[in-house]
Formats: sequence, C-alpha cells, structure tokens
Amino acid sequence: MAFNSFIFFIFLGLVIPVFYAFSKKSSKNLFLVFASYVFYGYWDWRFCSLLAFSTIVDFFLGKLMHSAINDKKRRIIFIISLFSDLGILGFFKYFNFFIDSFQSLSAQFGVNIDFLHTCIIIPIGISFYTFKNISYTIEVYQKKIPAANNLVDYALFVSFFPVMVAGPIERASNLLPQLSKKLIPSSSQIKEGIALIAMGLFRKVMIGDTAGRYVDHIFGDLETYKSIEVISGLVLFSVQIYADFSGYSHIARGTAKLFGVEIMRNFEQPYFSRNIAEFWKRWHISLSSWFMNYLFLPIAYSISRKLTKLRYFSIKADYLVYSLAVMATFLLCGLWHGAAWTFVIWGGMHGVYLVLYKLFSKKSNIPFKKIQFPNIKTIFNILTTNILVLFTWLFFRCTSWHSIRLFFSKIIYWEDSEYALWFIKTTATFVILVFITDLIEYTTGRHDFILSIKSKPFRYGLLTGLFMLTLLFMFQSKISPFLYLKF
Amino acid sequence: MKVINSIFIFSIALILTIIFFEALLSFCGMMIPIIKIDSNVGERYIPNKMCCSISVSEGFGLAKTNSEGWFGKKFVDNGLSDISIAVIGNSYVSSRQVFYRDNFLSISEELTNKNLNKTIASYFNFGRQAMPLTELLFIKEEISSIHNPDYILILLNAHSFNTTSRQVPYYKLMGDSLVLDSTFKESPMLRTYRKLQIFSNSSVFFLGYRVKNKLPQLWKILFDKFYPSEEEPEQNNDPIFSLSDVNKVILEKLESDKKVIFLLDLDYDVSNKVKTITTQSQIIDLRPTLLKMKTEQGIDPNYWAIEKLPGHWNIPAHKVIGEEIANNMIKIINNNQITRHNEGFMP
Repeated sequence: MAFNSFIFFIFLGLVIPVFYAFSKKSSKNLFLVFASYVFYGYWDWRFCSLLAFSTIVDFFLGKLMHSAINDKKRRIIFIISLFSDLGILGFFKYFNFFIDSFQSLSAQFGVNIDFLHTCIIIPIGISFYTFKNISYTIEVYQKKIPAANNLVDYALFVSFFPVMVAGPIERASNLLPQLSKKLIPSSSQIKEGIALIAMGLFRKVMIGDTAGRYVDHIFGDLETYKSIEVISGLVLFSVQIYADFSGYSHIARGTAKLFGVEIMRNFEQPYFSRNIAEFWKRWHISLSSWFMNYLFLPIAYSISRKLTKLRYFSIKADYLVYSLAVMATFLLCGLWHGAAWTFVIWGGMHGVYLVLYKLFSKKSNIPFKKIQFPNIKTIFNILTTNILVLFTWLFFRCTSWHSIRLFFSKIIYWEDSEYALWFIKTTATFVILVFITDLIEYTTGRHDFILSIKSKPFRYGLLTGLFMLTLLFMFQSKISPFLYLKF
Repeated sequence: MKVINSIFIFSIALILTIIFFEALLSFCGMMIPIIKIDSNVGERYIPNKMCCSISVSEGFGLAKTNSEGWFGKKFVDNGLSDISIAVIGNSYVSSRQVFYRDNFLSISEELTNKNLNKTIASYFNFGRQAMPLTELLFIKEEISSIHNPDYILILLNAHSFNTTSRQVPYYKLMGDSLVLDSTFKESPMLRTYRKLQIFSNSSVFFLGYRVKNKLPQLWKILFDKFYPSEEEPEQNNDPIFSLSDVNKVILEKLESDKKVIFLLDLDYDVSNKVKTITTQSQIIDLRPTLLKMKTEQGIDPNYWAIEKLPGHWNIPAHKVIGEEIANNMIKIINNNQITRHNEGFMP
C-alpha cells in the first residue's frame, strides 16, 4: 500500500496500538514482520514469497559465512549469496531489457529471438530490498558485523515496512542492532515522527503530485506543447522527482520513528549543491553511499592493483582509476534506476560530470561545509550545478529516443506560446516553494522544522492545518504512486 | 486564560495554513473556481479568468474566459462582410480538457479562413459544462437577441438530453407550450451562495466543494481494495434513447430558426432521433468522421491515454472535428453566398 493512501493511515492506526500492546521484544518484532508482509502483499500477495525466499537464503548463508573456518569457504558462500540476490534482481528486472536489446541487435543479422521475451511482473521495491540484502552479505563477509542470529530480526531488517519498498536503503550495521533490542519509541520520536509524516505527505501530495500532473501531460504528448511549455515540464519534473522522493523518505523516517527506529536521512537539500560531487552527497544519500561503498571503492581498488605505472598516456594513474571507477559506478547506477538505455545515459552523464569536475577541481576532498548565502560565486555555482542536473533529468524522464529528439527539436525550432507567462508563473511557484522549504530545512538543520517553533499551540496549529488540508486534497484527487516504487 | 490563549494561537496558525494553501492552490493553477451564479441568468463562468483544468478533467486544458464569461474571444460583429458563427453546447464545446488553441473551434476557424475568399469567419464559443437542451434554448435565445450571429451551431450528444441539475433558468413544458422556469432564483443554494459569495473565488473553498461532491465515495476511497466491490448493474448493450416531450418541442423550435445547424456527436441513437425530428435543418454529423478515426487510425476519440480514462474528446478528435466542421461550414457559407447573389441580395 502506498504511503499517500488512506488505507495506509488506517493500517498504521491498527498496527501502532497492537505493536505498543506487545511487551516482549520477540512478539513486537514478529508482529512487525507480519504487518510488513501485509503491507507488501497489499500490492500483490505473490511478491511476498520472493521476499521470504531471499530473506531465508541470505539469513542462512550469512550464518554459514560467519561460521566458516577458512576464507575460501567464506568466499564461496559469499559468491553464492551475491549470485542469488543479483540473480533474482537480474531476472525480474532486467531479463526482458536484455532480451529486447539482443533482439534488436540480432534482428540486424536476421535472427529472431523474440520467443525468449517473457511476461514478467517486476515486484515492487525489489531493487531496494535486494540492495539491503547485499549490503548485509558484504558486511558479514568483510567481518564488519556478525551474522544475524535471529531469523525474525533479520526478516524485519529486510521487510521493515517503512523502508522496504523505496528506501532509504538502510545498512545492516545501523538497522540490525536497533531491531535486536526491544523497540520502545520515546515521546520525542513520536512527535518527530508525526511531524515528518505530515511534512512528507505535504511534499509528496501538494508539491510532487501536483507538479507531476503537469509533467505527465507534457511528456505524455510532447508534440502538442510549445517550447517554453516543454522547458517548464522539465523544470517541473525536477521539482516532482525531488518532492516525491524526499516526501517519501520523510514519511518513511517518520513512520519508523513511531516504532522507535531511527533511519538515515536520504536527502539534504540537493538543489543547493555547488557542484556535482556535492549533489551526490545530498541526493538519495543511502543509494549513493551504497554505490560508493560496495561498487566504486571495490572497482577502484581492483583497477589500482592492476596499474603499475604512475602515468598512462600522460594521465595520472590515480585520475584514471577514479574516472574508470566513477564511470562504471554511474552507468550501473543508471541501470539500477530502470531497465532502459535512457537511464544508462542519465547515469553516464553524471559520471562524465564527476570525471570533468575532478579534472578541473583543485580540491581532492569536497568539504561538506555550510553554504555561504548570499554569495555571487556560490549562487553561480548552485545555478550551474542545477542546470547540469536539469539536463540529465530529460534522459531520466523521457521513455524513448523519439521523445528526447522531439524535446530538442522543440528547443531548436522555437515556438512561441500564448501561455508563456502562465507557465513561467506556475513553474516559479513550485520552484520557490521547494526553495523556501529547503532553505528552512537548511537553516534549522531539521526535516521536521515545524517542531523548531517555540510556541506549542502555534506549532500544532500549523501541523494540524497542513495535515488536514493535505488529506482533503488527497481525498478528492487521484492517488499518484511514488516515482521510485518502480525502481 | 492560558487555555484561551492557546486556542487563539492554534486558530491563528490554522488560518495561516489555510491562507498558505489558498495561495499555493491558486498560484500553481490546481484549484481555480470558475463558476459564479448570476441572479438573473444563473451559473456562468467568471469573466476574464485564466482557467487551468488539470485537476478537474481528464486532460490538461488552459483557456481564458472573455469579459462575457465564455471561453475564447468575445463576440464582435465586424460588419456584414464577416461571418459570425456561434457554437452552443455542453462541456464538449467549452472543452476544458485541451488548450484553447487545440479546441475544435480554433482549428475550424483557422481552416475555414484559409479556404474562404474575402470574408472572414469567426467562431465564438458559447459552451458550458452540463448544459442540457432545456437550458440551451435559453442561452440560444439570449445570444440571438444580443449578438445575432450569422450561424448558430448546436452540439447535441446524449448528455444534452439530461435534466438540469444546475442553478440556471430552463424551459419546461406546460400544456403544449414552453415556459421558462426561473425558480433557481429562490433556491436555497443561491441563498447560500450569496452569503458565501466573498469566498466564491477561493481555491480552498473550491477544494472543500470538490471534497463534498466526493463524499458519497468516502468508504470506497478509505478502504480501497477492502471495500466490497459493488455488483455492476446489468448493462444493456443497446439502450434505447427516448426523447422527452419537452426536448422534442425544443428541437422543433430550434429547427424553425434557419440559422441553426445541428452538430451531432458519436451517439447513434441520439443522432437518429434528432435527424427524424429536424428534417428541415442543416446537420453536420460528426459520427462518420469519428468512427473513421477510430477504425483507420485506431484512436478512440474519447480515450485519454495519459490518465487512462474515457472522457471528452481528446486532442486528435478535436483536430478531425475541427476539420470536418470547417469543410462543412465552407460549403454552407459558399452556398449561401451564391444563393444570396442569385437572389440579388447584396450585402
């Protein structure tokens, strides 16, 4: 069930009191596993079997790996576990993509392999829980954490409903220790949880979904729209994807807090980034750090071991290692987002940006310090980064090459619109709204910034109004699924 | 005292949130109320208002109302050499699902003028949502008396024969004659509207209105999949369309006006019934064109692919309808000019 549906709030209203009524840690966790499977099975009960299968396989392989005497045996078990996780992900998410790609290639040589195309339903959230399983397996293999002893705790780590279908992709080292203790939410966690849910829902429903309606219509029929209108569509998409996903992450964190679980922050005002490297430290943090730890660093390490010289073609070996590892990581990051070449290009563009940034940047480590406002250089850097990112969103949003070509032709062969002012005003409203909310988040350092208001009645008045009006808006409009659910 | 103070501050915060939502909903074009209730002529669109219909229709439409409260340009009589064509009908005419430039009237006007010599034809939109025939006659008479257009196109489809549910004057049958019913002027709805008129432009009020209209679906929305699915009533594949007496008389009255041209939509039964009654009138039947589009291009004229919903005419349908009307109107205008010329009528 989606966070932005009434049935989710009814579900939450039933689960919370029952969870609080249990006194034992084991019963609390078992009940949460049950609730999580109900939450997941609401989409399609068949998905639950796959979730249970990958949970059981990784749990027992993790235990075997932990108790293995020699490194060779551990390595074999590790590979089996990875193969199982990636095999499931690859089959359900990428099988048809590769078949279709080979099909178009083999058709050039007159070979037809269309019979291999099968009807596969992609289970919701499969990329997210598979990545969680993989992170566990790697950390156990690297002996960073011990293997989970309790199947229920591990099943809850994989299936904990607030973060199961669209992240944040929690690391076992953070979540498992919390779940192995008795979950008792503090009063401040409950307050923060409610505030985060209200503010996340506002972001998702009032900003993300409303901007998304324009985006869907514009990108659904690009031919009909004029130049300024398609540009507005792209800007609105950048607002939509951010509001949608950060709203989701707020609700996920808020819901987890109601059960006494602390989840990592997934977004830190990414559109305030001064360069592309900083953007990836602020955008989808749980995913970018996952790729950093489990893909970029191992790739960089394995390449650097093979390079013996200091320079290759007058390029420093360090830079070469960085560039190759970044490109590989971001191409895979693109593919993770969706089984389509447009996503691969999106990832590739970010990879190129980072490689170029590294080349021209003087600092090797980009400090995550406070941004200086107002400062012309900072504003210029932020604007440049946003334009570069905006350009990549085009490849993320367009579902076909035809749409991408059409978009560019709309820009090149400029057509005036009689509604230009209306589009500018509407787009500016969304951009300003996101800017203001992010600015407040940034200055207060809190995602639940309403709680930083000192007057209690004022604070609760704002939260009540925000929550009630968002629910009213939700009631009369069509529910839009979260964008990242399909990834 | 402390409690009162807290309640006061809480209320201030609530009001501020409502003001914030008001600004947000109107600036982002999501909830823009466009209907007002005039004491004399009933529900009309608010004049000079840019309307975005993205949250209230199956498409994404943008259009501005003119100073008289109709979509598109204001009626202007440019003299005898120009041709004015008023188009009256329900939401299919106002077409809030598409940008005004993609509306069939804009397309018709452009194509008609490309093919006419010397004269300039102007199409004027007098469409408004849920306008049944009983109200349409009132609007037609109003337009004829104020503007006296050269041609009046009247769009008819199955919805045109519904009974009115709006705050409007409408015709009813008393004995054999048509009588205008203006009882809406004393309706409780109008009284409530007058009391709350100050909020008639409010987006938050409009939101509340839409929520109120959706309340009958409350349990279904709340319980989603857990809501027991209602048994669908047995569908009659071939519903017989019957014309009420009042509608029959109205059609005959409209037929008596030689300026009137009927535009018929896809509905087979409606078209047949109207054709049997209005034998003397000129008719532009859109059905063959729309069916051709469906069979040849595979595009359902009433299907909205983005929202995956059936509904009003989509953009390709507007295009073919615009072309069809333009082709017919060019013939009609040219024929009339030849007839006038042969009869020695000189404008």
